[in-house]
Amino acid sequence: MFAPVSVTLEHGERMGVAGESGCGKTTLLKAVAGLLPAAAAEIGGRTIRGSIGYIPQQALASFSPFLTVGEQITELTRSERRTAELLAQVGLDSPRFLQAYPHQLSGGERQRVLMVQAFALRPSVIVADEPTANLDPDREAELLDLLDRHSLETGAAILVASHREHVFRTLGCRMLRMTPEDSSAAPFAPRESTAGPPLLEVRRLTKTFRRRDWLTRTRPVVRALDDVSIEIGAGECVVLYGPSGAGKSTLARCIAGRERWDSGSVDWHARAGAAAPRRVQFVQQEPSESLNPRVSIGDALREACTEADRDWLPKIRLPAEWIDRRTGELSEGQRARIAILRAAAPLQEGLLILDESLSGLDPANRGHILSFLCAMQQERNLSLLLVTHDLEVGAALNARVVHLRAGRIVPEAGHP
Amino acid sequence: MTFLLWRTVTSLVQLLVLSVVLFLFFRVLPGDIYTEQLADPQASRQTIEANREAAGLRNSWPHRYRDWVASCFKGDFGTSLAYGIPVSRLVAPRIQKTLAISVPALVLAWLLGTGGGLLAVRFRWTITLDPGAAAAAMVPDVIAVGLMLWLAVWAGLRITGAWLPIVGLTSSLLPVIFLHVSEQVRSARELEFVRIAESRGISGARLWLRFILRAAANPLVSLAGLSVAATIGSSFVVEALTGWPGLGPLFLEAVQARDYPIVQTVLMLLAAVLALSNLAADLALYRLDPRIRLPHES
Repeated sequence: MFAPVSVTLEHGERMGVAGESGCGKTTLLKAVAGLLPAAAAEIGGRTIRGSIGYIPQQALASFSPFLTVGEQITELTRSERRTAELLAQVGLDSPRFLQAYPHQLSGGERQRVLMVQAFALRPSVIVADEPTANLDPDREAELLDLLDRHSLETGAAILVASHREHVFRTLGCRMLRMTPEDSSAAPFAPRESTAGPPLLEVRRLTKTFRRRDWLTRTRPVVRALDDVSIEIGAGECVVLYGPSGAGKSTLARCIAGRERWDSGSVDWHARAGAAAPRRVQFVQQEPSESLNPRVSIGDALREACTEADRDWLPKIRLPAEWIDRRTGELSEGQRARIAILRAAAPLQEGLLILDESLSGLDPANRGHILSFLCAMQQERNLSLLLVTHDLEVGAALNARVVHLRAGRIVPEAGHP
Repeated sequence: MTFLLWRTVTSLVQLLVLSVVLFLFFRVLPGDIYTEQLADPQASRQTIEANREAAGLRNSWPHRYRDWVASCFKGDFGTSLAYGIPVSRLVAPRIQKTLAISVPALVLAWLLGTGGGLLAVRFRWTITLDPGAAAAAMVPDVIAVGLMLWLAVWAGLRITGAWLPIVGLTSSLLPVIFLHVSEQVRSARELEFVRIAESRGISGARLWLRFILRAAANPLVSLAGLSVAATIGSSFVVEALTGWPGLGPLFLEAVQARDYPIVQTVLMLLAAVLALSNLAADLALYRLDPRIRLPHES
């Protein structure tokens, strides 16, 4: 599956690995980090273990859920003082981070702890797989700067994979570009947004999150939705846009029936998806997490729709003969495509909700998914509701943008 | 805190429901201990009816259930209809005997199973050991212990004493525990965070105990809870076969004689052990897994 690859890094050199999802970036980096049994990386002629600081892509799975962040770093530093120093370097200096378990941290905080673990080994090579994927631009700049400085101070070489070109520019990388096995990125033509007959009407929705106290006492904490009304037409594409904490996901979850609301109503048009098994499907933030890695693609699809067969795969730009592969053998982005295909499969004239599902993906994968969504929209008169903080996605689909802020719809929002 | 309280309350409710079901079960079964006496020419119908009356068997079942529960709370588990002495005096020494073989067997089986499972994965023996263990797990206790008894006689060993029931009981528990441990440890070995820890140079006991065994522990703790009840259940069979004077022979005899006070008491005891050991396992999980104990940051 993998043509022979040779990578040579000098002391202090930086190399960027770029390429579409599924081209083997992660596999290459894992091999260098010594995570794959077949491959061997050599430093100064000898095979190494422990002298590479690996920053893995999947942050949560890379931590033991049973040890505190402090304990996991001290396993490597062998000194609690040094652990605290390193954490302070990445801006996690509050003692609460030492005591916290990985599941209690945010995605960005976890990524920073991973970086600390890489530094803790005083490595001669730092291998970083999408080290800034879950970070906002400010944090990203800060962390790249930190990586840069650490490498300058210790003379460590850097091998970094990313789908953000500016990461390579910031670090001054020599480039290694890889091509995938299934390269066939296709352009797509979004259709004109047509406001068909209404599919669903949301009227004056209000939702308050309460924290449940000891047995009965409850107190309101956050007003997530405040008198929100919105209408979605059949075949229409709507983008819910707004800063984090604006209530975008809450609204999407209410529409999907995953959350109860306090007052207001969600009314489906009687005709909506009457013939189809389902009228609404929901795709979560990391879509690939919804697949069982031990199940074949075909079986995963047939769970949603019994008629699934190999002819479906080309729709999401995967070879039809892959139908019997296990989903665990695919890359993050390919799994996301399968998950979205599976979610869309049982819908006919219904609503597909994507809750930040595209945000972790590189442009090529996002393109594949957007063209698939366009095709579905035309073929089945599907309506789309995209929750995002990235307006480019909305523009690509000719979507109507609904702007939420602090649980309310901002009135002036129109077409981007 | 809420979790602990909730979990304890559900255990109590389980026991309560079970006690009603058990009680009704024996009411539905036809006949009682006096049924056989009807065939005895020396016992008159009046005497038998008088005995029934005296034993309280003629009252309505809710009435009898209430009496039974009330007296249980006072430590009085009724009087054996066959022996005419309080159930507690019959059962207490038998419990000691059963514990004397099941506690050592349980400890031994877990030590051997965990150690064996870890070694099997560490040195890749699972391919050879797993099919054997799976086959051993499928052999019914009766056959395994019968075979062991036959071998002991053949080898001229002393077949009285506690060693035979302890070995028999251990061998009925060991294969299942070994299979679970080796499977859990093997999949924990492949976890992403374990591989990463290893690539960072963590190895030896630190890797195996702190990372691998820790990750494999959760399902095993649940299994430990269940295995307590399984041990007591198996011990009944083993005791009956090896003639060990534990709860098993008493229970089987009581079932045949329809001596319901004994049967009910023993079954409730088993249910309580099962509920308690599961409760203990859940509390241990709560203690062990920070993902259950500590909420996500919102």
